[in-house]
Amino acid sequence: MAFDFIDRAAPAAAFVTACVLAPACGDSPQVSGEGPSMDLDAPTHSLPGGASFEALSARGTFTVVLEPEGGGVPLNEPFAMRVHVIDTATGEPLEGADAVTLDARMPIHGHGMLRDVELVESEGDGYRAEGLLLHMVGPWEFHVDVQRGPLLERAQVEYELTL
Amino acid sequence: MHPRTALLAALPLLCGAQDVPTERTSHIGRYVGTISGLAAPRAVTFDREGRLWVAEGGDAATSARVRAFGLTFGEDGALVSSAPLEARGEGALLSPAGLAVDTPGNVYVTDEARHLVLRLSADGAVEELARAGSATGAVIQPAGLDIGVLDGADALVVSDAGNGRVQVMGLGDGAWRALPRGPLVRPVDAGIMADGSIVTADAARQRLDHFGPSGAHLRAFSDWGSFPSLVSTPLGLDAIGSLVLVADTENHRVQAFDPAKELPLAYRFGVHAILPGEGEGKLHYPRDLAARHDGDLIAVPEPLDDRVQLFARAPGAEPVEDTLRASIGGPSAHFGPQASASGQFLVTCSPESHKVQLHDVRFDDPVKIADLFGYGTRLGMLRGPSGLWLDDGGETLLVTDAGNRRLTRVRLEVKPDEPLAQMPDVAVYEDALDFSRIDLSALPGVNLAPGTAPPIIPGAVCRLTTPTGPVIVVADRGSGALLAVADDLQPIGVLTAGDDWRFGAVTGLAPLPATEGQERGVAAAVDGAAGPVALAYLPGAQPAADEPAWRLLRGEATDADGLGGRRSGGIVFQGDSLLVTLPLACRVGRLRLRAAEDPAGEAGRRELVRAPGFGAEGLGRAEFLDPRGLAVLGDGRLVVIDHGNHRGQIFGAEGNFLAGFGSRFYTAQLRR
Repeated sequence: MAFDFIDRAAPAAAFVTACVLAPACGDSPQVSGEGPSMDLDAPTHSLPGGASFEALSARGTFTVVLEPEGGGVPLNEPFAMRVHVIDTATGEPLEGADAVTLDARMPIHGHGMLRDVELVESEGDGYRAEGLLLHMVGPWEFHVDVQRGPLLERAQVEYELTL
Repeated sequence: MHPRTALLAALPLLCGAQDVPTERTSHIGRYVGTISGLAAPRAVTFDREGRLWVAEGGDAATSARVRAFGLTFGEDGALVSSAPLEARGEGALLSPAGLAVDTPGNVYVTDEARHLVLRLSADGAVEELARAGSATGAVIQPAGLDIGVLDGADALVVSDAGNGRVQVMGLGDGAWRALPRGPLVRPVDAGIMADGSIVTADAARQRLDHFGPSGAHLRAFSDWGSFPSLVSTPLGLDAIGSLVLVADTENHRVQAFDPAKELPLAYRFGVHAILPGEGEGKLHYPRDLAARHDGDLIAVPEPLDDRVQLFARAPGAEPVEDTLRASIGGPSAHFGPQASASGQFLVTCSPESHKVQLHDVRFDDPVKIADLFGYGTRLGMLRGPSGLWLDDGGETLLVTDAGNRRLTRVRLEVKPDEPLAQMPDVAVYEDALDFSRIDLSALPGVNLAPGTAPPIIPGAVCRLTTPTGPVIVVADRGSGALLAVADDLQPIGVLTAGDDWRFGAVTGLAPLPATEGQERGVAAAVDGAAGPVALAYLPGAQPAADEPAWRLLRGEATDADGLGGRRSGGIVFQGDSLLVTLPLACRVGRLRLRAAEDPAGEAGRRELVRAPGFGAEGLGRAEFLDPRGLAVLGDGRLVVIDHGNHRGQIFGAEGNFLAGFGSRFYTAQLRR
């Protein structure tokens, strides 16, 4: 599994090697170490506009690209996020998903957001989530879960929210 | 029991409210006595004569049965005596979970392990009313019962927990019908209200649901938590007039609700019994609740304490709170049902918190370094942890969840070479297999017509290493099958022993130690009359079309410790010893695996021989209460999950006590 915070213009090598500060986002990004299932050859995806988070799913089935609208993640204010789920094998939007969910949690504190968010599918433009709210500074994780048939798979992004 | 609108004669006069129903001018909650010395009482009901019927799970000396007690009270209302009057169902029950009595005196009892609804007549006849299945009139893990009038006729209401529904059987015509499912996931009890509506308790969703007389879902109320009006695994309920009283099991209390009100909580009572054996009105784990037909007395069984406590009516709409012990707080560690170890790490789970604990066991005592999971439905959350398997030196964790019907795989970023430290963010919840989307009848080896298979309810889990890769084995509590799942979480099929793919109520799994020339197999702890232990052998990783993928190891159906027909628990290999917890006997049974001569010349034959086990009921060292999971640490130490005593105990290879961990009140005895 890969966790990363990238400048979408960054080359693929940067995707796995280091923490790259996204210029459009004022928060300090933090990159975890690579997991054992990380696919170093996984494609990255160039999307127009500001910063994004990108992560490979646990089995490498799909890559998620998270785009906070407005370019950054605010502290204790609602924000929206675009969610793209890309089939790793084809580079195209993943087909056949029965459900896609987004959540954010703080495992060190043992809690998540104080609200649930729903993903609304946008025709040809992935999904959009409204009403996300990170109410504390500190290490957060974004979880994107995709259910296809009986299988449920997660892509996870670690993110440090600072003042 | 019938719904009742009975009013207490005296208390309305005392309260000066004769036109107000008694349940509004008084409350249940005055402790009046305890019936002790029972054998794990799990369900209760009153008959029309006021006799108390108790379904007991059994112990080392007695098997499960149903007994009637005559109760005598003094002038002050306190219990004076409780005399056993008759017993029924001995030898017919394994794990009773629900109880009701009709007007003629027939006793109805559910067996959740054998998936049965039985009618026990006074003449000793035992009649099967429903058996395992998912069609109307069949049940999976049936639990609470009630008898009342529905649509103008006497009816038996059955909580068909495993099938996620409530069914009704007409007592006159014996016809079954299933009520609309609504949002139910795991209804474990149902009660008929005075107006013919039905209230159910859902142990997976942690909600109470109100269905109208027509079966329409009216509302769900309450939720998971410890604050007033919230519940934690409510396992029993009964109606008194317009109120429903709920055994709020893991909150150690009883709550009374009026389902018709927007804010339904009427009152609550019960103080948590914290000290071992504490009672006299304090509640430990109330497993069920039954109200007498006059609505003035309730019985609350507590199987871990071998007792039924009785509470009567008292003046006032609600009890006066004991301010000294009113707060419940978070649940204390009450480990179970499984445990697993790999490398220097141990995982346990606490059903009340729906969390898994990761311990570092590099020193003598386990040190908890992380809490994993939590209550909920998302990936990484649980609604009823039922099995654990730790592997790869602590880096891989498999968790089964009966409430969400899911197998979750977790990657643990453990650091065994670094100094001991807390690791709250150690877990990466990677993926899961959702058994609710799998049709068992579609799997190879299952000879069921499409669409007729019972739901898969995952229990014990382990992972085997085979020549072609790892295979995950999951015990299905719904069908009794052992499911084989590939390491990419794709179901392979079911394990079969000859023509039989139903192993029974498997409660524990462990890989069979490999020997030269033998591939890895699996050992299973199984509830059943033939004995609590069976072993299966895996000749290959993939089922072949022309031969059974699995067959029983010879000599494996073994009656460990001579306790066949009782509930089994966890299972593990410690060297060449196969250990099995025997919850009702409070013992750890031991069998030794050894090479056996085979007249047919078959190579690699092994057999099991009985060896001395250890343990007894109690609080001291090597004493247990309802022991369950077992695990062997990397250095050979044995961990026994002493479920009923809120602790674990650690033993050396010879069964010598080394250490204990868990609740301080319960581990204090081990330090002396």
